[in-house]
Amino acid sequence: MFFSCTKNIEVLKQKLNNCFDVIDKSFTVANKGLAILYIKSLVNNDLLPLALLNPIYNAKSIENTKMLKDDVIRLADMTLETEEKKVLDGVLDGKVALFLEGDSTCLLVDIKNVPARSPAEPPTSAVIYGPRMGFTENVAINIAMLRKRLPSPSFVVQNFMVGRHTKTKILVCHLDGIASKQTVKEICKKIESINIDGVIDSSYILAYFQGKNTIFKRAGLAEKPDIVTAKLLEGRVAILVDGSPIALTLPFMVFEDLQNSNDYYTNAVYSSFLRVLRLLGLFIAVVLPGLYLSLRLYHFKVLPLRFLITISNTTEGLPFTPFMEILFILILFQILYEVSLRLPQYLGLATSIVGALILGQTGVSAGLISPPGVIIIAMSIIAVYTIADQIAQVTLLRALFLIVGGTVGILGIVGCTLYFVHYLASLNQYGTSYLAPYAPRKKADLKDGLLLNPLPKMKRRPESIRTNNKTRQSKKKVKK
Amino acid sequence: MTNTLTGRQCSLFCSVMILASKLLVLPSLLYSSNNAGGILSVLIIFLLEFIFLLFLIKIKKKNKNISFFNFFENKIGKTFTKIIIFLLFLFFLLKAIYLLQESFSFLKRSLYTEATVAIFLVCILPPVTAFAYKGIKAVGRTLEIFYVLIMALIVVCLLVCVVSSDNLSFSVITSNGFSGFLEATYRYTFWFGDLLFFMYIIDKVQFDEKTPKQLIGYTLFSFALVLGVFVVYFITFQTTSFAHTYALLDIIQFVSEYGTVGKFDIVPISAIMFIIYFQIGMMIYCASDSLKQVLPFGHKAQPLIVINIVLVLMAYIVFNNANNLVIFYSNYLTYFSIFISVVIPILFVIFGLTYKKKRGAK
Repeated sequence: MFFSCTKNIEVLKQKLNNCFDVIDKSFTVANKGLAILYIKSLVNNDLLPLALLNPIYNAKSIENTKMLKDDVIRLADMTLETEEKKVLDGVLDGKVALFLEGDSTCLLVDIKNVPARSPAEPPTSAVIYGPRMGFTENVAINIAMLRKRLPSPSFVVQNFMVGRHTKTKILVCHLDGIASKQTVKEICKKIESINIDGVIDSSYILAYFQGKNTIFKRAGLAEKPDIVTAKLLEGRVAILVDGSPIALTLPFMVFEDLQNSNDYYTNAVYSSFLRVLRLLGLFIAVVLPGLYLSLRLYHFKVLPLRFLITISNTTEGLPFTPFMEILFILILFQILYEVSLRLPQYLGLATSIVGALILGQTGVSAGLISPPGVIIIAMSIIAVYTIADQIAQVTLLRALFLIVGGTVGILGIVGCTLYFVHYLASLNQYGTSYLAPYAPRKKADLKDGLLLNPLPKMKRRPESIRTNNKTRQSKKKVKK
Repeated sequence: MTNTLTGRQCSLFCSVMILASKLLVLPSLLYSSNNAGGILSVLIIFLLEFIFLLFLIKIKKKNKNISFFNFFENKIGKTFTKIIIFLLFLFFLLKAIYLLQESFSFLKRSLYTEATVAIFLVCILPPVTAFAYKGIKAVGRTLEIFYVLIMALIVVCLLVCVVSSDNLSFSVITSNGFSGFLEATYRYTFWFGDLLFFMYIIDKVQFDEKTPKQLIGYTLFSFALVLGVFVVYFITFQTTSFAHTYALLDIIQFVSEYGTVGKFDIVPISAIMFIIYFQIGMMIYCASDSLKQVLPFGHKAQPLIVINIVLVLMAYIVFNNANNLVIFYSNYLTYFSIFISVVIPILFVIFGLTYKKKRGAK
């Protein structure tokens, strides 16, 4: 930086393209020239005069920026910078840059106030009983929520900045002494290696953990601090991205998506029942349309007689082949799904009427589609929401199974199932198998498997995850 | 990912491989050859296979990471070992061809009345080739997911048949006598030798304290299951057993009221469908691995391409002549099968028990 305040302000303003919200002010206090520069939209405009300008105006003497930092301004988050790039980054991050005539050091004061919404219950992780607070787009709020739940010196947060233009803050969190150091190191290395112009959301970071695989997600997605805390306590690593309300957790096992935070806040037997239902939901969502089609086309002998008669009565006279009919209904439902996501809420009712009543009912009465076809596809689409985190994967697989079932029948469906399970079985991440704890089977981890054991019985952390400390509950009494 | 099986995964494979072709055509073939005395053939061979398994466990305990190739090379040199491995390759390939053909015939009768060879191969070959390509670790994990389902389906078949049949007679087993069992055993040796895969991949199995118990337990369970199917099949169909080609399917379709009216036959069909994928997958893996040891391939996909081409060609030649294939295997492959299923295991046991590292060997 330069020794002249005016020159510094001039250079920085030029670098910031003289934008309208870049504010600079020069003034003299105690016979010393001062200048400040900040971006109005990023700074707390109430705090600026109170915490920064008033103490400066009241100062009896100012010799250098160090004195300003140590004796004049009573704020905690202040740094002295001499490099132009760091000063520029600080200003862009919402800090106020303060220059003193004849001093080449800049004082950066953090009084930023970026727009953020208040924590609310996320729509896809709603619970009946249990914590409702969800993450926001502000990483500072998110980390505060985690800190509140983990007031432990072992809670470690490492800060990274990714994105040449966005300079997005990426926070890697883990519990020291529990998470595997090797895993943490590998994750940090991966994040450091990312060289991209911008990171808009955590899904950008997720893409770098996907590897060659593009269909199945390789990290857990969590929208609530209670879920992330539970995962950190299991020995996982969490990644928070500024601007995203979704945290990533690693390593990830596909079975995690059958679990729900609500499971741990209610009766274990009831939760086990719900998990079995979710598995059934997954089966219905992925395989049912393809299976129905293959039974109807190739293996109708397998269907019970009365069911077969019902189907043949309702499908008689349809203009399309069964395969085309089911494909048509599926595409129709997918379009309605996409539309309902983007339509304004007040149009939702109208869409339901058009979709369900007019298209569905009229389609059936016009003899274009059959009621069993509509029921099968509707069941499949609804069943996806038993495992909301897998919507993308399930939608793709459903379409694939439909094509396979419609072209080669049930043997193709079995082959396809085995192929995908085998593919998932070959995936490993940070020493954890994607299909753990069932393949390879870890007996101890089955306590939190499809059938959930009560919390007092889960004395150890998951064997499937590399951790430094396996004990969750010990017989020793807690010292008070 | 290190390509090894855990002890449990290997045990599950032993269990599933034993089921191989024994649940479909074999009961009918043995009955044609020696009436209900066929059970004794199965018992004798199971006893021999069990003894072989005990030796395999002992050898594995003694020599942790020594491969089949090392054991033979140590005693008879590289060239003869390669010849033996080539013979094993032929055995695994022939077994895969037979399993494919039998599955095709079975599925054509039970599910696809108008099935073509092409559709069948399109359904079977890509997954099993992927099994062999990715290695046994992932297949082992896949089997862990489906094992309980497969076994539950077979047990349900047996239970449904026993509970719903009102014409069970044990006299068919005892009245017939067992005089011709040796000839039947000799003729149908090819249908056995299922634990050879374990001998072949012995170095790729991780052993721990529990593994021997698991291996013995799961293998005995499969022996019991196969014997159960044989007994139920014979006491159900009695003198007409030879006419019921597919044992596991027929004990449901022709006996149970659910099997005919309620379409319960999807249960054995599903069980067989899952089993054939794992069995053929393991056979192709072993065949590909043995071919790789004999011929210098540049990429691990190359032996698989060769095997797939052979399978497709054979499928078009033999799939529509099922009877000829059975005759070929039971008449012309007998000596070959005995050499592979009896002589090689005996040699392996001798070589394994007397194995000593050569000086300078790593």
